[in-house]
Amino acid sequence: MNAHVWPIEQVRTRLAFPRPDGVTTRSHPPFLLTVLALTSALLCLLLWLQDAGYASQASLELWGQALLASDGAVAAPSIIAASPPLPYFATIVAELAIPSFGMHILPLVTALLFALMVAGWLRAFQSAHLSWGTSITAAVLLAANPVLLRSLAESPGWAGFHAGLSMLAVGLFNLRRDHRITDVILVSLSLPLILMSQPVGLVFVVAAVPFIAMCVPEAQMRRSVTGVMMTMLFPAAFVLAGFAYVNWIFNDDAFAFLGHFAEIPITPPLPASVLGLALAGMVASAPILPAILVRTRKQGSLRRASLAIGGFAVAGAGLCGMTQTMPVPVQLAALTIPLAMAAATRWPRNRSRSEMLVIAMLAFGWIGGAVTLLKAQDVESENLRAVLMGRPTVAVDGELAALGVALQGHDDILFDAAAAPATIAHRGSAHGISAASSIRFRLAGMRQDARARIQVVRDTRSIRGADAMGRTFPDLYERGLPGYRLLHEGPEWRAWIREDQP
Amino acid sequence: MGDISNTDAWTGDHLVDQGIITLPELDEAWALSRRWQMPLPDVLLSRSSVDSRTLYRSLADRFGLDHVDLIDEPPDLTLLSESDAETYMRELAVPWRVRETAKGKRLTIATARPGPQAMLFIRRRWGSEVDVVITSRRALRQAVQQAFSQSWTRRAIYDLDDRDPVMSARTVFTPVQLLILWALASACAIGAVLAPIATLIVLNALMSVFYLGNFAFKGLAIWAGGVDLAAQQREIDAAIGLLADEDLPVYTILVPMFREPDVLPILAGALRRLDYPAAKLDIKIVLEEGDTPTIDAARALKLEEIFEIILVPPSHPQTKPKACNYAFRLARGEFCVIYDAEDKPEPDQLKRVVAAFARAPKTVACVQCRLNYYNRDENWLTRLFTLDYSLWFDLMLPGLERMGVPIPLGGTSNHFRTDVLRELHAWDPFNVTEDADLGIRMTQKGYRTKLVESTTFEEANVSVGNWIRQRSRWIKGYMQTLLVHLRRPGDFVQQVGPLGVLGFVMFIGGTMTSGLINPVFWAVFVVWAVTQAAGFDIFFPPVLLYLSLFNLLAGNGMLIFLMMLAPFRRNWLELTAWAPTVIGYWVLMSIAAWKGLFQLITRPFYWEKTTHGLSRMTAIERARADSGEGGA
Repeated sequence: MNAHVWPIEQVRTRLAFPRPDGVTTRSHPPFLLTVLALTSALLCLLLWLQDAGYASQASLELWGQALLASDGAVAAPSIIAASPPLPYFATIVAELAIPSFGMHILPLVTALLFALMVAGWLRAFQSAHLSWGTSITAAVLLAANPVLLRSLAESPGWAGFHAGLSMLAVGLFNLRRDHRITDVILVSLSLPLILMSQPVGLVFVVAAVPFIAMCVPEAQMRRSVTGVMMTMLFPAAFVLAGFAYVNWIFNDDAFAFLGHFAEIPITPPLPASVLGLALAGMVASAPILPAILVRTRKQGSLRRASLAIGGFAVAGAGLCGMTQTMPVPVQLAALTIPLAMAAATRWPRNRSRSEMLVIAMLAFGWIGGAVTLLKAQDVESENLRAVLMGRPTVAVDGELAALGVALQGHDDILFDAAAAPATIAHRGSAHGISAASSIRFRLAGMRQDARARIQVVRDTRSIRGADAMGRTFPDLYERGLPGYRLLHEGPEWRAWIREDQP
Repeated sequence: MGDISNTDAWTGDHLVDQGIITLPELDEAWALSRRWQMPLPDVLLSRSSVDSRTLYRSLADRFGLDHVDLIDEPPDLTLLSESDAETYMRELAVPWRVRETAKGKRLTIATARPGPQAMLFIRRRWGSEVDVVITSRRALRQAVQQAFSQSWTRRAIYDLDDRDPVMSARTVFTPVQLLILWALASACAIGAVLAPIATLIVLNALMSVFYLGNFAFKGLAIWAGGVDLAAQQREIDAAIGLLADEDLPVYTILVPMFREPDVLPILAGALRRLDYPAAKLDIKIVLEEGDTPTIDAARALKLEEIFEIILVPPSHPQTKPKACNYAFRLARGEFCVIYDAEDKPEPDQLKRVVAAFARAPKTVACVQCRLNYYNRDENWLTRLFTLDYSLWFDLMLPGLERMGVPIPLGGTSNHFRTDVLRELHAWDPFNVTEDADLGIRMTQKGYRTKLVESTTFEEANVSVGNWIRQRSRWIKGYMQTLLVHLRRPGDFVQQVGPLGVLGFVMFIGGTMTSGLINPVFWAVFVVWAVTQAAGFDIFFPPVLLYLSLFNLLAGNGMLIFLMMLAPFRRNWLELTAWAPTVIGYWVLMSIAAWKGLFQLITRPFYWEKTTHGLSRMTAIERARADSGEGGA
């Protein structure tokens, strides 16, 4: 019996049971087409808006920064230490790759980030075993939500922010269910993405911490709270520490990248009604979020995740209000769209019409989003509505627009352009600008000789304080230099030009 | 379930009649014999119901034949043919001697399988004019082994090199490889003389790009491996439920040991706890002939018949793969696995593997189980080593499997289809990471490796010196593996695909390369950070500076983060807090890498022995094993 022959075929036949649900892989070619179609539609919309005269202040500033970097007007260390890095680097890289696109680069970057996000949404729907029809309809309803489009039109940074929120929400919903490492990775990496996309990301990351803890499986929390939370927060903490290090070695100030928060003390307190409006917009744009709380009342684990997602949205908005860093209400409303997407993946579907209900709620969210956008009072939303209705827009910061136009056609300009990058976007180029980090500017400071053809300086009494020019040449704003005349004079900025110049 | 054979029925009755076993013992053995579909003597021996000598003497009496001990009275070597060795082992019959009898000179055949089947075979093979004597199975196998030991030793060393020299690490560097290395070194030297700054910038850029690729590929593999494996586990669980004991094949377990007498009782206990029909286990404790302490310890344990002690004759190189090759010749299992001396496989591991093989396509030739440590909390090194292993086996390897990248096998708990292993000429005795090499070789020959959720727990190194010795051997082996498989890059790409090559280069090449070049970058960084010297600036033009900074920050951050993810699958989250100290572990890795490189040049086939049994946990386990306690 040593010559025992193992009856492999017999055993193989016996063990050849069908694979259980969830192991089979499904492929849906329409998903790729959906991503392409939605991305193309968004790109067309954004390009059309731009050509029709819509340019947000954020996109002008971003474009101005990109021009300063790509034209070499700012020193390399200033580029590497710039914050928030994601939209900044994406724009610079895209601008270097295809310089002829001009400011159209921004919609392109937004569309690229949006495509990745929508692909992720469809993947999440696929993993949740939603039918492909429902998945595509849901993706279209979410992607076309007016508040989301308004948000994306403002700046590529918001596209990154929404992508980060999508990862966070999907990860939080699944943490308790699947014990997959990929969900831990999603949650952990979503935080640095949020952090790197928008200055306000830091506030949302802080707001997310207790809600992440709420979603972690109890067995893991019992084993080691420190271990779990350390893993979840490590990438965000490391990015912050890395940024502090880079700022320290290049800018001699570890916290220079937090410059956006310097304006907190000078920002007037927000009336409570703004926060109320934001919360109302959030509920209107994503009614699925409160609905899933009701629907999952008997499903402890899912309800906990739903509560965490809803709580995170409210806490994020509240913390923004408290720290005076709140974006406009319509932007906050848009932040609920990725959360609504995650809720759609986990909506209990034990009844035949559950998927229809999901679609219905997303459709209500679309209507709510449209109403929120229609009622939004901020300048950017008004401009967007104006463009859509064929009316003229108004410049958000008219002075910078005027300054930019005034500087057109001139060179040899000493200008702390990083303090007002939108000016460069209005000017159309950073050529001929010596910004604060340039050697020309530093030499002028050391010699106390500002004799460039043009000097641009901010009023030292301005609410934002003096810019680098004002700090280097304290009397420049008031008196100018002998032999110079005013080229531009506005509420905050003056540009002096040598008298022999036209 | 088949009925018991007549031979077994007579044998059982005879043993009871002789008072060798009791009736209840016989009933129990019969029940198992039917359930396992194994002969009654095998069942009795596997359960130590009777000792081998008594059983075979009794069987000789029963059949009216002589009993001989082939160890004391070995066969006449002129009657044996090496090409028939496998047949002797399989049929348990061997020509013994030519004896003078009343009928003249007659050939005498020794068999350890008395009964009609054996007689039929003997008559077919040697004719009817033969005498038959009975011997024990162990003695027969040992006699055959001794008869051919010289030839088998040679084949254990040179078989792969003779038959497939391109796959053998016996030649460390081929002439073409030496030429390429010389050309690269010359180019660097010429560049350093003619344009030193540009040369250093190019080298710097190449290394930075390599780092970036390495981080990215590792991240991708972890993402791919981070999926939910519960479904796969449930599938195997269900398959095990459908497996009857009679479905299970004979399983060979090879346990190569060298100077490890202390861990033997632990190993024996762990193997006894395997949930597998004992009579279907073919366990071979593989010892070096000169290793007297371990040999004595093994004999003192008086192990059951399923344990066979194989003594490997002394020869060079004295490596584990050579010992395994030698013992593998005696393997009679459908599948074959290697365990290290201190291993504690999960009890159902063999059944899981059988189920996995039965469910897998025929191209799957190897099933790799996970490895981890039972003494993880002992000190800093064991914690980091556990994180390292958890990352590799729990996340990285599942990722490589999903991505279709060749899997470098881990040192133990890799289960092979015996026929494929023979076809591949088994392990390369000149490669000191023979397992990793075999995994790649298998992929090149069109076979695949599958991972199964079952863990073998080992002893993590507790001492830094011992750890460096072990890791330097691994890294040296990775270098050998890289050199072997990149000898014909075109063929390699064709056989494993571009992704496979990339994975191979990143995981095998990446591990050693990062170990070697890390100290250079650390030194540059430390000098620059401490002195703020501007001297390095010329070697870091802006783009390279950004890339290096990204690698320094994002890359190292990501590697620490991956270490933090490592314990999640086992919920060993108390280890997470130690992950940021991995930098110290990387320093040790670099020391090991340089030692490995040095040895590759000076002593390429030298086997840096890892000492086992140093852990406190092992001492406790040993005490428990001595007192006869089990437990995992």
